Amino acid sequence: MALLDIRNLTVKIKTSEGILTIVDKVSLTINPGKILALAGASGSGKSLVMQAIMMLRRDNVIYSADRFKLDDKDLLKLSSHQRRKIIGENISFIMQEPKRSLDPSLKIKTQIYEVMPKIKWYRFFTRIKNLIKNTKRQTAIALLHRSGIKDHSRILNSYPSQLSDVECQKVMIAMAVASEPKILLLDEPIVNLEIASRFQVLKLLDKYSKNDETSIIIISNDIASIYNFADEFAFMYAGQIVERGTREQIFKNPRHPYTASLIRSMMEMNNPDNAKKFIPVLTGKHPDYKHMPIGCRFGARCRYAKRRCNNMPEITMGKNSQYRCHFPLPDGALYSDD
Amino acid sequence: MISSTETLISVSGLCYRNPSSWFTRMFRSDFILKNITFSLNDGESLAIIGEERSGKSELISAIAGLITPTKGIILYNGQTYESNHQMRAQNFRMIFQDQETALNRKLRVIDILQIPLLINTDMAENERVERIYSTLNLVDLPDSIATRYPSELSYGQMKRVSFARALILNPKVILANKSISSFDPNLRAHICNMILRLQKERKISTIITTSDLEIARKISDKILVLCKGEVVEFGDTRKILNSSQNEITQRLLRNYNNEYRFKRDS
Ligand code: SF4
Repeated sequence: MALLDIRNLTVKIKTSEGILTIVDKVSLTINPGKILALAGASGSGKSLVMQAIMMLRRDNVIYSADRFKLDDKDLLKLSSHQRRKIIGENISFIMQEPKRSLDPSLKIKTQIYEVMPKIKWYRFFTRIKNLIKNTKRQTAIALLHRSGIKDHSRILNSYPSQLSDVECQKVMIAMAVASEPKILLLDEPIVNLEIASRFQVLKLLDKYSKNDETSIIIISNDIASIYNFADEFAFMYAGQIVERGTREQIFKNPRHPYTASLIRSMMEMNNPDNAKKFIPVLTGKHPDYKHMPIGCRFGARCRYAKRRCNNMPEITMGKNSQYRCHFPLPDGALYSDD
Repeated sequence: MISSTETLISVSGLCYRNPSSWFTRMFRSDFILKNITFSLNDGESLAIIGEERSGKSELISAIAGLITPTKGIILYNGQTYESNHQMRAQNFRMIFQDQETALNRKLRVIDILQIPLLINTDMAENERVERIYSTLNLVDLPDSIATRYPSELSYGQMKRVSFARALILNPKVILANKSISSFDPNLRAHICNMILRLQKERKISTIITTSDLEIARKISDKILVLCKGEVVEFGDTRKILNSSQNEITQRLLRNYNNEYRFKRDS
C-alpha cells in the first residue's frame, strides 16, 4: 500500500501573459521507508511539485489533481482546513537554503520549542509549567542529539546567523522530525554544503528513513552524490516526469534519451581519464513554458526523434520503470557509442 | 621577493584575521588564514579545496582584493595590488556565488555587461557593443539575450552571463567562489567544457573554490588543500587526488567518495 499516492498533479501559474501550465500530469507514489529522488534540470518544475504536495497556498498558483491520497485518506474530498491539518501532521518540508528558512531574529531555542507538540493545560499550574519547560528543553536537546548535534547548549542559544550552513541544516531536520512526520520533503538539502557535511546530512537522513520508516522525497540536481542514497529516481523534464524507476533499472538501462544523457554526463565527469578533456554533452536548450512543443517536449534535443514524436508520448509501463517516449532505448544503449 | 614574468600570482606569508576591536584581539587571536605561501605560473589553473571554515573564501577574496590581508604580500605578475590597481582590476575578475543576487535585476544583460567597460576603459559605443556580442558568443549565449532582463533567463544562462561579465575585459584570471556547483549533470558538463575552452583558446586561468572534486579534477592543474587556515598540500591535481599521503587530504577524499556517491565500477 502506497503511503502517498498522487495522480495527474497539475500546477498552473497565472502570469501577465495568461495561465501557464508548468507541472503537467505528474503521478507519484511512495511507500513507507523509501527514498524517492526527483531529479532534472533547474526550471523543470521539481520544486513546484513539492510545493503542490504541501499545498502551499499562493495567489497566482492553481493546483489540481485526479487523486491525492495520503495514508488511504482521500484528501481531495476533505475541506481545505482538514486537508491542511492532515498534511501538517504527516508531512514536513525543508526548503532550499536552511539559513533563509530559519527566522533570523529568534534564537534556535525559541524556534525549536515552537514546532514541538504543544501541551495546553500547563498555563494553570505554574509549578508544572516549570517542570514542563524543563522537559521541553530536554526534548529539544534529544532532538538535536538525534540530528547529530553535540554541543546543544551553544546551538540552542545562538541565532541562525551565528551557525554554519550544516548546523542550520541539522537544526532544520531536527525541527522537521519533531512532529514525527510520515513523509519528509527536502528541496536541495546538500547543495552549498562542504564535502564532509554533505555526507553527514545524507547519513542522518538515511538513519531517519531506516529507523523510523519515514519516507523521503528529495530534490537534487547532483544525482552522483545521492546515487546510493535514493531507492527510486524520477527524472523530470519541462514539467513532466519522463522516466521513473528503481535505481538499478534506471542507471543500468535508462529508457528515455534525456535520462540517458544525464547519466552519461555524470559518468564522463566521474571518469578520471577525462581530466582536462572536453566531454560530449547534450546540445540545445530547455523549452520555454510559453511555447511548449505539441509533441514530445524533448524532441528538439533528441537525436532519436522521428516523425511519430510530433505526438505527445504517453507513459509506458516497463518492467521496473515507467517512461514517456515512443522509441525507448534498448538494454545496454548507455554504453554503446552511437 | 623574486618573481619572474612567468609567475602569474605569488602569495607569500599571507595572514588574515577578522577585523575586530583591540579588546577582543587581546584575548583571542584567531587567524583565519595563517602564513599561506604558494605561487601559480602563467596559464595554470588552481582549485582550492577544504572543509568548512578552512578559510577558502577568505583566501580567494584576498586574491580578488576584496579583503585586505593582515600580513603578507600578494603579487600579481610581480606587482602588488597598490602599485598597479588598474592592471589588477582588469586582469583578475571575480564571479560571485549566488546567481540571483549577483546580477542586477533592473538592468538588461547588455547594460550589465557594459558597466565594467564604462568604468575601466574608454571605448567608443560601437566598440563596446561589438565586444559585448563577441563575449556572449564566447560563453555560448545567443545574441538575442542581450536585451533581456536577468529574471527572464534560466539558471544556466544567468551563470553564463556572470561569466561573460567577468570575461568582458579580457582578463587573465577568473576567480570563482563556490559558484561552479549545484548544476544538473548536463549543465555541469557544459560549464566545464566552456571553462576548458576558455583556458585553451584564450589562455585564461581559473582560480576556484569548490566542494566538487570532480570539477576540480576536470578544470584545474593545481590543487591547494586548506585546513584551519593553513596550507596542507599544494601540488599537481592528479597527484593529490590519486595518491596523496596526507591524512587530512585523505580524509577529505574519503568523505567525498562516500558510500552514497556514484562510483564507476559499482
Ligand atoms: S518520444 Fe521521440 S523525441 Fe521524445 S524522447 Fe522519445 S525518441 Fe526522443
